[in-house]
Amino acid sequence: MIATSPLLDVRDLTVFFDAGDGRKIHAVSGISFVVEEGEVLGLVGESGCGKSSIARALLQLPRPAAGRVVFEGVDWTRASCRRLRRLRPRLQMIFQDSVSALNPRRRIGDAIAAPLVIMKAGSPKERARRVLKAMHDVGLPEACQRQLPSVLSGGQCQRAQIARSLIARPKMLICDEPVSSLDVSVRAQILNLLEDLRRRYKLAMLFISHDLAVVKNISDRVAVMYLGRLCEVAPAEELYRAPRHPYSRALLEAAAQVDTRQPAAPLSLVPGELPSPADPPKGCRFHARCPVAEKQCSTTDPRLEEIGSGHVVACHFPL
Amino acid sequence: MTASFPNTAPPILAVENLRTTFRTERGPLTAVDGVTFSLGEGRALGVVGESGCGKSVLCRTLLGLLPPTARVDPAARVRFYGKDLLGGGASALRRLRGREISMILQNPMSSLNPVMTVGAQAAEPLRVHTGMSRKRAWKRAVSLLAAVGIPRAEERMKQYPHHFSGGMRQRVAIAMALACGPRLLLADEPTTALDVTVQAEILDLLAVQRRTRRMALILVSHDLGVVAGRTDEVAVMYAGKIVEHAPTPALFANPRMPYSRALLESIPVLDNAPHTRLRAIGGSPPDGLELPYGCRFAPRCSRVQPRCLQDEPGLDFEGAAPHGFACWNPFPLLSAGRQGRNGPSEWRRT
Ligand SMILES: Nc1ncnc2c1ncn2[C@@H]1O[C@H](COP(=O)(O)OP(=O)(O)O)[C@@H](O)[C@H]1O
Ligand SMILES: Nc1ncnc2c1ncn2[C@@H]1O[C@H](COP(=O)(O)OP(=O)(O)O)[C@@H](O)[C@H]1O
Ligand SMILES: [Mg+2]
Ligand SMILES: [Mg+2]
Repeated sequence: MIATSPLLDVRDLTVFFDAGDGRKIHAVSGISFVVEEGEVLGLVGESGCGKSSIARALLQLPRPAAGRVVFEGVDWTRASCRRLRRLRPRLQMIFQDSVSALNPRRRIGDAIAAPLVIMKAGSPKERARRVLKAMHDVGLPEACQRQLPSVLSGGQCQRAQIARSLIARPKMLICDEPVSSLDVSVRAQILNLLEDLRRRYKLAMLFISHDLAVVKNISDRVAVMYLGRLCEVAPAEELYRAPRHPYSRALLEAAAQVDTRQPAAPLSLVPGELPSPADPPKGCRFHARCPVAEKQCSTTDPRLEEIGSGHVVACHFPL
Repeated sequence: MTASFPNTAPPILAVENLRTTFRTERGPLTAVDGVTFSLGEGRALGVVGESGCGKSVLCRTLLGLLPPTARVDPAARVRFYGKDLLGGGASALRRLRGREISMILQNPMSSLNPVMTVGAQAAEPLRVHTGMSRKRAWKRAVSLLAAVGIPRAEERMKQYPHHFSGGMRQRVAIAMALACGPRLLLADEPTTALDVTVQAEILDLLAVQRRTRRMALILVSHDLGVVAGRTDEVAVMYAGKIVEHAPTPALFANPRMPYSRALLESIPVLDNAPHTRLRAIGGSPPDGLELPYGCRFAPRCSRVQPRCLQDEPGLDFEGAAPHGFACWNPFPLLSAGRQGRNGPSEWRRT
């Protein structure tokens, strides 16, 4: 039974925040997806659509308002806080801002060892050995071990964060915009590093980014999100070649406009602004900006439906 | 050989040997180091390079917006329509700034006042620079905001910047920058903080405004893709220097300087299949305090030769070709036919 169930199984995940004026921000509204062992699921969508909220809800930081998060057969939403502390090193997170993800007063070596200390794993000697191994894996010179994050470059801090996330030998990483604040040349180094580690350790990943080219480069499947909802999930090649949701198409057109190898083409997107997640539109959340929307779209919320093998889309009139 | 981009249009901006140095605790830091270029009327120049290479300092030097710790080498020349911008004193620049030369920045909030309505701010440059009456300036501001794609402009004039999304704020900043009909617009990472769809809309807006106004544009970005489809020529900067300067299609089809090419190759593109290995550049750029001897890119360069570690190459334009690069061992020039037929991907196969 366990052997056939996915590594991560997320059902109806729902996250609210307080808007401060008595309203509720619908950050994540009933999202379901799975990640198989060794698989990379990319998650794209514009800022504020709820990507980071999903990432944190998976780790129960804070606990989601509703839904299940089953990882390696354990439902994390029902685990006690004490149990969660021990579980979290199994599902590590890498953040965009690597410099502030590291404690400025803690030496790099100690920061990398932290998950082992939390898990009470290994003797101090064994931990030291594993820290060096992890640093080697991510290409950090040994000299960095005793240094503080402030003397490292952005790329080195990101490597340290990756080393820390790997030290407990997790089955899966959650990468939240891991290369967005890095320079182009350093970004390629880190992406290659993640790719190498994924292969070597058969790591699964949830890879979050607003950059569609970056996501395609590393993902097996890609999920597109708009205002707290999933629009479309499909194998990466298929989604980029023939998107079926009008929002996926608009995102790809926008990405093609800043791609060095694609001619610029106009966006098929109704001009306007992202609606407020405190007051999400009725029906399909994308309808006001959708060039092919019909009456039904403003009244009835489309459900995610399978339209091809491993390809689901939430649209009344898929392309 | 000439030392700058041969322009067909008469230059409105001519920059010669621009050098800007900061006093820092760790010693002098030369952020812009001998930059020379000129820009023709109505042309769009992209300036690209990784963070810290000097793009913003270049813009701020041109606009006279440097902190007191900065010093501009007196041998430098910046001419705008033949008028000397650096020698004329701060007041001469101030008179031009906002009127004939204006700018937009990455963070629109830095050019917007949070406690003033958007309308009052959009009308202000008109009143200050053109002496319009309050009422006329207000009406003109409404039409400007509408022209940059702000819906219900009349109503939104009464709101404060925090009521606007990032994209809408950038539109307001663009409207303000365009208010007095500048001849040159400097846009420093205007879309870096924005989402992809908003970025595409803002870049389109800039392109349309530039065309209709025949305004020259310097578009600065760390992202080569941003300048690819929207500029006439591109200058690539590395460690304070322009290392390659070429017509945009030529730069993308046939980059000669190894850094430009490596930068292009390291970017993931939409055509890549999943799990494609990227061609990363090893190491990281020098920090401006400890510059390598010779060519500044040499320690990271795949084509490095002994000479590169000793002599610093200058930006050279071969013959009359408008393609300059600073390199002792450049990639070969592809024949025009090969460049043209296969477009930007040809060099990848060589
Ligand atoms: N701690 C919080 N308090 C209140 N609102 C929040 C908080 N975190 C996120 N939000 C809101 O939830 C929505 C989703 O945010 P987020 O998950 O960060 O989006 P993304 O990562 O896709 O940019 C946004 O509207 C954001 O403003
Ligand atoms: N006010 C300042 N004081 C000292 N150094 C500065 C200052 N502003 C910029 N620099 C340095 O100048 C160099 C170029 O910076 P900048 O022009 O901002 O780069 P970018 O290409 O990212 O815009 C960097 O090394 C930066 O640290
Ligand atoms: Mg986020
Ligand atoms: Mg800058």
